[in-house]
Amino acid sequence: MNESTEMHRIKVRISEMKVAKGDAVLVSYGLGSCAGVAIFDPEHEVGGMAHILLPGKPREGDSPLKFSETAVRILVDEIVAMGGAKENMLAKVVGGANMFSWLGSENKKPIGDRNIEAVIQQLDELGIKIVAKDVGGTKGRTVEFHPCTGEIKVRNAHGETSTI
Amino acid sequence: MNFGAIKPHQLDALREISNIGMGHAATAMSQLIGSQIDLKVPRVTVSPIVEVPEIVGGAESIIAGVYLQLYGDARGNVLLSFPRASVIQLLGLLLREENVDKGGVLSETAASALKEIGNILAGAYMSAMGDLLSLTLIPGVPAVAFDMAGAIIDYILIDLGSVGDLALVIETEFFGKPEVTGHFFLLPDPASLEVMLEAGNLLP
Repeated sequence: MNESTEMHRIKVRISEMKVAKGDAVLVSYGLGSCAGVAIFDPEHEVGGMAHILLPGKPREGDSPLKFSETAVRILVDEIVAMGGAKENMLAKVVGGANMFSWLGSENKKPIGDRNIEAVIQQLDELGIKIVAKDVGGTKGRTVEFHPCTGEIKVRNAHGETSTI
Repeated sequence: MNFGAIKPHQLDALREISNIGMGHAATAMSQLIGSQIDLKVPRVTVSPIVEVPEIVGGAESIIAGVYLQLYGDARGNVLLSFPRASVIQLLGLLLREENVDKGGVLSETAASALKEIGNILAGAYMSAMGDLLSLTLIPGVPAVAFDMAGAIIDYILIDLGSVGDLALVIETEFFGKPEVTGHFFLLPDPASLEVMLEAGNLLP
């Protein structure tokens, strides 16, 4: 195993957020109805990704990184702290699948859709442009984000890959 | 009830209750496939939700997941998971069908058979557990997904995630011949944990 490449792969698990620069790769394995938000500043080559479980904002005592409203804001602040500038920031949004199709047939919208809508609304409020999306559907995704270039590789359970 | 406040003797009792419930489920499954199914001793853990995908075998491993909600006196989520190879083996036994996995998508018959397995196992488990605790436990309609474990799990964590950062995972591994292995998970809601513990006379 090549230790130097392994060292730069940083896992972003449910309700976690990571920010990095240089040749690091941020990876979320098996993203289902969760939303993955990647924000990067191409000029300063810094970026980060959040793996968000739920739409809205946390109640007292809850982890803010679990919820769309707070997680996106914290992500932006952390990128600024690492040398990024808000006016340069671009965003890519992934995830929000509907894993169990019948479960969306109730009156309310599937949670995956609600997660993506909440994240997009939050990015709009912050004035961050969304340059690419790979959202919805019925399949889980593994997401590899290169914060330095903003490139995202998406892989599904069939082994199909795409780059956004 | 906060999962962080649960005592070791309560975890032991949940393990025992689960062992009995799963014993009934394994018997039902043995009869269904016509061969012996054995169980490992259940594990009962309180984990941060961020670690739950690891318990299921890693976020990217491909599993067939049968998901049901638990209704009645106690509520929660039930997941029955089979690794890819096992589900093909299992459905082969049940359906005598060669092509259950059509390029990563389960055939309609295969998905339907899995739902039925979910019904039978969850039903056997719930009724044993309900009898033991004098609670009415009703399994909901099963849903099936054939995908990455992490993607299936994150859906199940939504209910729990909206009320806390911890999950109580009651897990039993079962295995049989030919090579069929799987996991049965029960994730009770925090409020329902209290109901279960009270029913078992396990609250101080």
